[in-house]
Amino acid sequence: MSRLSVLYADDEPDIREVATFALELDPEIAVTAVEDGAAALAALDAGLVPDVILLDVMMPGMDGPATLTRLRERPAHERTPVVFITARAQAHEQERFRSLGAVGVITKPFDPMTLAGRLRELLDA
Amino acid sequence: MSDALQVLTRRFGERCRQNGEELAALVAARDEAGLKLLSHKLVGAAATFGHPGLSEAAAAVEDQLDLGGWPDAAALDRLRIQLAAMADA
Repeated sequence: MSRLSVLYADDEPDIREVATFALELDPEIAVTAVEDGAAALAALDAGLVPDVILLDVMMPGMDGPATLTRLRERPAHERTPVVFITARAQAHEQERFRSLGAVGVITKPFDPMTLAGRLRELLDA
Repeated sequence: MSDALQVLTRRFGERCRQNGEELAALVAARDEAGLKLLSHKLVGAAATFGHPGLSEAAAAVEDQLDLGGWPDAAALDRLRIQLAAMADA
């Protein structure tokens, strides 16, 4: 399996930790976890080059969709795959997220044992 | 469950005390945006950590907010009780 660098933004510390733990059960995945969209952009400004960006939808300050919009304004990251993670996304919301340019949506609750595989499936689709 | 996951699950339970205090403050301030954010987070986090009762109580609050109204006392009480039970566990 290919190595995967993941930038993950989620303001909920418990979920951030469990998702990081779950993703890194795959030994080929390395996660950089930050607390919100602004911190994700700052990590990119600092030189991080992730293979995929995983964004919580609801975050205070800059939420997931706003972060994606800002990402797409940056030539270096206009094509970096983005996956949203959220609780209870209805079908029309998932469609809206995809129309913004996300490659997929992972819903909470997620199974920690299969999260990494789910992310890889979305990237391979 | 791995040791690491057990630690994270226990930490989530401990954090429910803070969430309960946050809930009380949001209700006192009648802060709809803050309550929406808190309830939404609890829906996903509680279910992920295996606490469906708390997740459902948070979902009921979020649903009422999504319908455009302030949640009724029963829904808020149920969420408060669920958080208190987690904090005392």
